[in-house]
Amino acid sequence: MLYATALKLLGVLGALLLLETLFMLAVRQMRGIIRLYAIHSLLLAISAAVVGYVTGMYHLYLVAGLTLLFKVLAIPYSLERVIHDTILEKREIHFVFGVPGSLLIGGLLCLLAYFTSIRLVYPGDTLARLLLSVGAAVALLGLFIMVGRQEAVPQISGLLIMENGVILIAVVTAFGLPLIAEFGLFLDVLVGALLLGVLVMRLQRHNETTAVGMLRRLKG
Amino acid sequence: MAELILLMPLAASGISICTDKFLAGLTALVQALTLAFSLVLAWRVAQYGPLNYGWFYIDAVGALFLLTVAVVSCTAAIYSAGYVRSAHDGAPITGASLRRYYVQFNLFTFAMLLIPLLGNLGLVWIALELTTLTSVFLVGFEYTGRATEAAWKYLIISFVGAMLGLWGLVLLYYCTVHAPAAYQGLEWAHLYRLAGSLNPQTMKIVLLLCLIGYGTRAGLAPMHTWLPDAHGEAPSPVSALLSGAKTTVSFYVVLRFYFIAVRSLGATAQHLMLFFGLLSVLIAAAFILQQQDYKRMLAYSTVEHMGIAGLGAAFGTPLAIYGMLFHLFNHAVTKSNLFYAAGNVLLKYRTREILRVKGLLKSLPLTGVVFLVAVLAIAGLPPSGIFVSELTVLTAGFRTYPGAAVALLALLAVVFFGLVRSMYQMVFGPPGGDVPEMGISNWNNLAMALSLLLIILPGLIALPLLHPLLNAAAAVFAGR
Amino acid sequence: MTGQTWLLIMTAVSLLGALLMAVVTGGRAAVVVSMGAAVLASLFGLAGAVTLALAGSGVFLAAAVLPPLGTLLLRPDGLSLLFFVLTMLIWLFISIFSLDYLQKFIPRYNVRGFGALYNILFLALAVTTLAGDLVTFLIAWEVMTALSYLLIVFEHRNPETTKAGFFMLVMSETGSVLLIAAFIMLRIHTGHFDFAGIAAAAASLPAAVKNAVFILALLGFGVKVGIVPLYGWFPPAYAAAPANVAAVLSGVTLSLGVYGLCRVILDLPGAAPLWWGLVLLVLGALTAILGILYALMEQNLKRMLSLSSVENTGLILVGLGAAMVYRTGGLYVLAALAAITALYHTINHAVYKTLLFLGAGAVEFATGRQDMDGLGGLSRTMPYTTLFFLVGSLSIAALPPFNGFVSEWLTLQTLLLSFHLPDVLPRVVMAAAGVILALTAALAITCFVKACGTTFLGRARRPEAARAREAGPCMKLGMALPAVACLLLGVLPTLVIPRLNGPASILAGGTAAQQMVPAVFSQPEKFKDLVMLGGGFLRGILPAPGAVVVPTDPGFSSISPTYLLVALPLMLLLGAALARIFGGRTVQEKGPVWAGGEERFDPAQQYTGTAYSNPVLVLFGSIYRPRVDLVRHYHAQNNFRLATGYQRQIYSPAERYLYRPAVWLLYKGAGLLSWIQSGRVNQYVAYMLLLLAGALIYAVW
Repeated sequence: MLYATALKLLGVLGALLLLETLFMLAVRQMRGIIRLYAIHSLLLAISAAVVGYVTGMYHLYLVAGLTLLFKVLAIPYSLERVIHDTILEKREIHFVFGVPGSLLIGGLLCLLAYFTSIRLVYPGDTLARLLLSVGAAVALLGLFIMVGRQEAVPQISGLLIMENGVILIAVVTAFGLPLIAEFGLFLDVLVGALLLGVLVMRLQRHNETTAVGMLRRLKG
Repeated sequence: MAELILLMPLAASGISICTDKFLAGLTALVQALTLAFSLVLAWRVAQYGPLNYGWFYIDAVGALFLLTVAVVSCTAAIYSAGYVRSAHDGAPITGASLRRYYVQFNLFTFAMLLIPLLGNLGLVWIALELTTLTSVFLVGFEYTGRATEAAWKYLIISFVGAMLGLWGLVLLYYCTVHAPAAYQGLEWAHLYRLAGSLNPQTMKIVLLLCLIGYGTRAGLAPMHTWLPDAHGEAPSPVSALLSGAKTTVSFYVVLRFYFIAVRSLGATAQHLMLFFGLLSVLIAAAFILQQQDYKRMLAYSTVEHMGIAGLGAAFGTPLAIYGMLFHLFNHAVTKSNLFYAAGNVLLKYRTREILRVKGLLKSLPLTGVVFLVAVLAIAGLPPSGIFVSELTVLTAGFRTYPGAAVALLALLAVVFFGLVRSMYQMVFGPPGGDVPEMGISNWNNLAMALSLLLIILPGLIALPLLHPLLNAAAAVFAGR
Repeated sequence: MTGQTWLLIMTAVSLLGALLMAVVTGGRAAVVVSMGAAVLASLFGLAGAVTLALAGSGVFLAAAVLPPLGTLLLRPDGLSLLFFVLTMLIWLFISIFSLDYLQKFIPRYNVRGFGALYNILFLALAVTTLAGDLVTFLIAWEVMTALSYLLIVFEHRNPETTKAGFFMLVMSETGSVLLIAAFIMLRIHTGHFDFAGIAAAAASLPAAVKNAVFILALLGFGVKVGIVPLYGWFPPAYAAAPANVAAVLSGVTLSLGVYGLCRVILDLPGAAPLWWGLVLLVLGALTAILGILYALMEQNLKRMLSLSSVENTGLILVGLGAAMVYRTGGLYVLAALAAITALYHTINHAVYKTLLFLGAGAVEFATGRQDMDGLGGLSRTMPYTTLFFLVGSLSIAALPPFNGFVSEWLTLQTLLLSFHLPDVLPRVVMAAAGVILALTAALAITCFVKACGTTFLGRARRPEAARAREAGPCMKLGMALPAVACLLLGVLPTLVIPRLNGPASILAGGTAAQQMVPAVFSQPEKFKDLVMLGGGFLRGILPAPGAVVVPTDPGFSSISPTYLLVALPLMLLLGAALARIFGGRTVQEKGPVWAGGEERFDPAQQYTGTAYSNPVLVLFGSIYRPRVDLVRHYHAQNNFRLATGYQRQIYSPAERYLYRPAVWLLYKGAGLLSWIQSGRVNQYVAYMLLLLAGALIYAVW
């Protein structure tokens, strides 16, 4: 009974994750994007905990905890700190595809994720059936956010969303990676996000813009 | 032994945090010792077969790539010693800046040496991430707008690749969970053994994700886009490390996944690799042809050679695999030497435009000669290891995929045209009047001379340790 | 001592010569040491080759393992040794010459580098000829290409020179790429890289593979020997190279290209379809006539000589083609005749072209000029050089008693014998080739009359030419030796032809020396007709079966160049005597040259080379298609027109229709891809998204 409820809960969480990711396609506010990412990670943490509860893989609680610590708190906090205030206040005006176009392509990517993931699920693997396609869709959408945004912060967020998607895939298919890999992965993301933040500061200093899509000195 | 190899650069990195005295000499010494230990380790592996303890799994392939990384790291450390003395338009790098350089340099080499020693693909993924994280600020070391732009692109695109690679890794693990064989995990040796029982449908996606993901680091087109930027903007010894060691060791990771997939998918896997290989050579050829910046030209040549290695892997016969592994070694040595020579040119002329460099033979005789020889070698002229390995790959390719081999041969001619055209304009001619007076340190020349030997020797004789190792490595991947 | 020992010493001396360049100080010492080493090495090489040849063919010299390609072999057979000897001989001439010639570079360029590269190039050439497998051959071949490139661009501060060198290197590499393809195909379908293994398995080669190998090798070696659309690098590279390097290119590397053709097209694949031979014949005739036509238009000595090399390549190709056609038709004796002829012509060309390039080098050394229209009157200041150059010109113009005559005569005879063939097509092709070659020979005479006349006769057109001094002793010796060789090869063919029998049999599958040099001396009764015509001449003196050369059939035609040597002066003397007797008294009267009414005769009023060759330009205008531009010269500041003139330029069709479009296409194609690296990071990430989407779709399809 509890198991069925948990599965239902996972379904809801998956839907929320997907919706939030789609919503992020249309958000222009920098600070809003960072906050949305924190919420995204929170949903992921809850999902991981629930999967851990459902499958009895208790080290998934650790994953959930690390996610909470790193991605809900540390990374959004440090991103906000690292990035200059003026950047944070910014709204991104020019999307590469525009909001309706972005949503259309996002929908197509969701379909693609669904149809490809569903074939990979082994028979009887309810969890994967439920969430594998969501993970894939989130990863694809994250990548698409990176394609569609010219500002540095949304690009970083896209990357982190993508990472969340891949973690979700890992959680539902493999019940997380070996512990050491898990730690390494989280540290990697943390350090990577920090480095990206530092680079954004440097971009602001040297190139006087954080619109990374406009950086075109190196070509050919 | 493996611990020692890893400990030394780590320790050197630690020391670099504390002091900036004798750092150059210390690092060169440490890297030379690392190379010596790597040689011993490689010899043991060649003699007694794979080593497997703790997290380490070192077979002939691993030993080969360990050796490659160690060689390039060693020459790069020697070159750095000269480079830091005059990097800032003739002024030496000092103080915190110097410490930062060496901390990252040693950490970077540590991360690269780590990869071929590990047996668990999950750990390999982390080590590969570590190479990116430790080298980002080496790429951006020059602290200019261009360097920062390059570092940004490097980091972003590498991360996307890492995520795709992780995705592939996870699905591979998913495969083993549901495979009939009773193994769950990411130990390469086990995966390779069980590859036949893995679900081909999933393996196809795994392979594609891994080719795209790890291929990003290895510089396969069309994921190579960060490479010319990063290799072009980084300080020259770092460019040498990136081009010689990092792409090589990343390609090593690609190979680990690829050969699992070949066992599971057969020709499909080969065709996919063929696509990326040919595309890399094609795009690289087009950009080499119209390149105006010599460091970027060398970077595109790296893309080209990764493509050749990819084609070698795709051709798939034991001969092709032998040639491909040999090619990766030769390319690492040759390309790093080219970046050393290019670094000297940059130190002297302070421009990276091909057309503004003239008369190298007159103004920098040794660098000019080395650049000339190394360009001819990288373009495939004997006597050089590159010639032998390219001929091997082509010989194998004509048997299995004649169309691709013919295309490769034609593109090689185009690349030759592009590389030599730029080279001769730089090396020959009267030196311009406004070349600053500037001597090149003996450290730089020592690094060039050492790697020049390694460029030419494999093209003339059978090297004692290298060829047994290559034989064993080819046997590992050929599944004999 | 065994041949191996000699060759070992040769290698050691050569390496030493190269290595000593690192320690020798001073340009003069460097020249003496490096060229001295080269002279010694080529002498040792000759000794070794003779010892090996006496020991018999197919000698195993050395082997090394180069994984994973297999064993590298040095295992010469008769054909290899022939070209090895030729290389040594030419190298000897050039090295002696260079002892003086290189002095001119000492103040400006690094002759130590030259000496080192020169000696290593020697080793590469030696290995190319001695190689017993395709990999060794290829490595040596490529090293030879690279080193000869470096020697061509020796005067590297001149942008024209380096550009010409680049052109040469790129074309050579394009050729090498084709060769690599051919070699790999042979390897794959026979399982061997070594010559013996390939030849043994050649019978089982599929026809398609054989044809592909033929075309690839023909084009690949064609770049080196200068087959018609591929000779474009010849004029600029030869003109840019120092004269001794130009001599190496023409005398040695071109000959090695012929060797490669012989080896890969005639020897390795075995039986050939008829069309191979016909292609060679047509290409050869075309190459010969176009080569000499373009040579005629050149005013630059070295450019002219390089194009004349193209012409000679054509003659050699015609000989090889005839050998192939005869061999396919089962006429092995005639095939051997043709092969001997081709090899003989290769040797002759190497010798006289070396002589001519060295002569041009001596002129350049003395005057600093290569343009005929700026020279003139050198016969008074440089009599020896003039003499040697004249010998070379007579040889190349195929006049007796010099060597060019013998081989060209034999080539024509070979073509005339085509009536033995059963098919009509090859007969027609060979007859047509014969006609073209006859025209070529006539044009060659015109060409060298112009070269000799404009350069050496008349009066100096420029002050540099007037200040010329005779070449130094080593240069003179370096020219005298090949001049003597020209004469000896011309008058003693009956000594040479039996030596060519072995190598030719490898190419033709039969022998012809017995027929070509009938044993007139030992069996005079059997060759009564020949003896009656004077064939018994020099019996007992000449260590040869006879002094008469017969293109296999004594009833058809025969010649004795040896006899000619004696008869020609006699006839001349006779003529002079008759003139003396019947011509009455001759009166000599000296007066000023008529200068068109001007007071003084200016050297610029002399007939120029351009004028001399103009009738040919008019006659063959439809082939040359010169581009004529109206050139107006304006004053720099105001628009005042200073002069108007016509400029006539001749572009070779290869350049117009092949190289330029190819390079244009290459850059156009590359430009079409330049959007890929646009600098937009969004675009780069988009590649990965698209690739990922494509991958997912592909994977589940």
